[in-house]
Amino acid sequence: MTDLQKINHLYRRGGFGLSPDQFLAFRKRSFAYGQDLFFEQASRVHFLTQIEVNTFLAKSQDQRNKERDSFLGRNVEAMPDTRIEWMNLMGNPDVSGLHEKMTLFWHGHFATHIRFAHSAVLQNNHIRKFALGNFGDLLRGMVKDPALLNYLNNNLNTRQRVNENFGRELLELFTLGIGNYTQKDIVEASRAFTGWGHHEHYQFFIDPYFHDSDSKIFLGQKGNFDGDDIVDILLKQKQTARFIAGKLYCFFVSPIENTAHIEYLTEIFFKNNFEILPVLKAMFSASWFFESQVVGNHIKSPIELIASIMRVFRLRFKDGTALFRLCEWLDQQLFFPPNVAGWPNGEAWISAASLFKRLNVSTYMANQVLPPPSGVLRPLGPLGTDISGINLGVTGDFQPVYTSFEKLKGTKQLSSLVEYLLPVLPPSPLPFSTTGTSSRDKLLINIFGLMGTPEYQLK
Amino acid sequence: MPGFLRPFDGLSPQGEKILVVVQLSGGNDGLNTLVPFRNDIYYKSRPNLAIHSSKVLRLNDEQGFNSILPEMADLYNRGMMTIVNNVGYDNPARSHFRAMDIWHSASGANQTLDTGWIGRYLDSSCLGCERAAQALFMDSAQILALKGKNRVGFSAGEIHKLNEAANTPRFQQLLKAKHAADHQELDFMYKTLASAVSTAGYLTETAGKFKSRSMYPTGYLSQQLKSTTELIAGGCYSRIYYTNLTGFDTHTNQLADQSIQLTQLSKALGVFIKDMEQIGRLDDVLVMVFSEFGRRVKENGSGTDHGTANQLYLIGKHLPKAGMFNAAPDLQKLDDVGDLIHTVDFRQVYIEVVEKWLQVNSSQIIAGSFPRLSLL
Repeated sequence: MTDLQKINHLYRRGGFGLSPDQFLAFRKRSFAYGQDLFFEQASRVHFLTQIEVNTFLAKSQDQRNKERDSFLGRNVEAMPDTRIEWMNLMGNPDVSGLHEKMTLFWHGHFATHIRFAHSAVLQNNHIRKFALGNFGDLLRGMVKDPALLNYLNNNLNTRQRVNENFGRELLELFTLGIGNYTQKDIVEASRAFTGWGHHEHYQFFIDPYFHDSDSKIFLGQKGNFDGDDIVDILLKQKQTARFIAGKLYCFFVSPIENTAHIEYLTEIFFKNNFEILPVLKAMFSASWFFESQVVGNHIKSPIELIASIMRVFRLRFKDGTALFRLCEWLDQQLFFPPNVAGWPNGEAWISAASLFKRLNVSTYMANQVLPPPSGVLRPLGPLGTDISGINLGVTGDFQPVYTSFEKLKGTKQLSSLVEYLLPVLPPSPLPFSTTGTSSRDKLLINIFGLMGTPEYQLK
Repeated sequence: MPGFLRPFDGLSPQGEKILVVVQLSGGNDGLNTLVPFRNDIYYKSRPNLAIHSSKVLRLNDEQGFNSILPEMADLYNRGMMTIVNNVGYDNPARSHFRAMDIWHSASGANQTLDTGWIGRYLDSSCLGCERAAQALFMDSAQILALKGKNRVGFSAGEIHKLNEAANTPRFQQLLKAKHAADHQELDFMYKTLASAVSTAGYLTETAGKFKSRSMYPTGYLSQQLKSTTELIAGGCYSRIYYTNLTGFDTHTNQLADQSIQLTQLSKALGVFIKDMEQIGRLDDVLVMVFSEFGRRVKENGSGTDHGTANQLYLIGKHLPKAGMFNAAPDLQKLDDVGDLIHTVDFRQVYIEVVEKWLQVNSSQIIAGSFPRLSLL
């Protein structure tokens, strides 16, 4: 593997791929240089913009009760802008792909269906703060996150009537993984979180009337545990490190688990007191990360696909409703995970119908910026009618693509585009033709043609 | 690497048995579906949620359908339904995903299988046969139940659009192209495309032969059952139609939420069975309705928590054990969490369906040995 191929692989897996100018800039650089830049960029953290709530919060209880519906209504209405802001970060090549991708990873890990912008931004910014930091810090904040507590019904979890939903998912999905605790542990953990709730969808509090402060036995330990104690006990378990390392491996390396590789990451994670960055560095440097059965053998999720297309043409979304419809069409909506387990990896994204849509999506998105010149690829057909009629509201900049690739001619241009866009060899013969078109059209046909292949679905 | 469907050819002959699965996702509360209307424990455990005996369509002295299920009660009274109580398995999983995987893969609670029971049926039923049997998932995603080692069922949501798209030149060229070798995920996508073309064409043509004029209620299950009707009427060569209705995870607001879903279920099944009668295929159709688990006996606020054993419903014209197959749940004898204890393993039901209805040997499909039920 050449250094450029390794850099490409790192940025595709650990981020959402390179922009054309980044790709050209890395051509004469070593892998070590590319890797350093990759991690250095990730230390610059971006946050989502919080909507203004202080005016409402400053009001009297009576007044708040009167205005609550309209306050929450405004929150719901602000969600499209929150989604746009995040999508535009993921799709912006000047923003760290790794940091955005880790934010997406944790969003799927702590899957929460959120309807209110303020709660969404609160949770997402907490994730952003610790996305590459310490998992303990991340988890301690998440178990107090209003949106998550609400989503998992912890508002109904009282000492008078224990609701196990939050306790179960904490063990099954957030820390230990299924099979590493008993039903009794679920009940005891749930008791420790009784009375943990929130005011007005934004503010964490513990209601002592509903909290069970009696003794509990959790994972063999006895004490008057509250939620923080439960988290502390979970952070002493190597199984927690193993479970998270396994999920990172499946997300970033391969949906097929490899016990030895996961164990290697587990040791690093546990030894480093649940610091996330050392695990990522180890994973993205391991020889197995660059093996031929790993490179290009993972399927992009719809959000990853959209973000990778955005980074090629510097696309930005302007219209929240349009972004919502596009994501609905491709079946992955930020802040609306399918269930508490979050989104699947790999083959689960692919059905006959989804594949058709995915082969078309780059053409749709880019055509919004660039009225197709004669000869440029049309979408594959009527599956697109769901969204082809609407304006996706994107802006973009094709200049980097022109500057980077127009000076290359003929087969040289094509082979360079193949290396830039695809992690594997393209289909042969290519399913499109550039015969008899102007040089700019040729370039665009090549780009959209390559992006409209099953190969481009890979990362 | 699972293999993919070959083009469908020919018609499903009259007399060939068809299985329609209705999956209720999220854990349907069985006790409020089939109500133990004389049971004090039930009423004491559910002061807010219990269905009053005046709102029960009585099937026998103990159990009756919630009155929002009149079509189901009618099927029962016409001798077209077998109700199996207390279906579950040892060490029940109360996680949706794990429980659903167990039902899909027909594994035990302590075992993980990466193929589904219907997928293994597809794998094994074709040994030595002329034409492979097929299975369709009427929803649009993938589902473990239909995934075999060598063959997978086809997700038949959106087939019309798929068929139109498949006929565009760029797509046709893509299909003829060679792709990089030794890439499992790439291989998977190309095979998905190839199977999509042949199957979408066939299904579109077949479903187009018959339009049901019956009034299905609105809702997602209804659409799937309507398409199923049209495919069966058109003579589709599929032995299995797998449908899915979500929305049963009623931790809160159960009375209202469950009633919306159950109303659709009952109405849609009623219309579907009428349609089968009308096209003369009722003799050939067996419907199996299940959910990944039932819910806890004791209510919790306005909803119920994840539970264990549940009823399973078989609907058809030729049911030797039509009626109540076994005793109602024993609410005095609950497990340590307060959940029902199963008396029938779900794999016993699968074995009956595979051996007696689909008429193939179940040994390659359902692992483990279980006492035979004599259910079908």
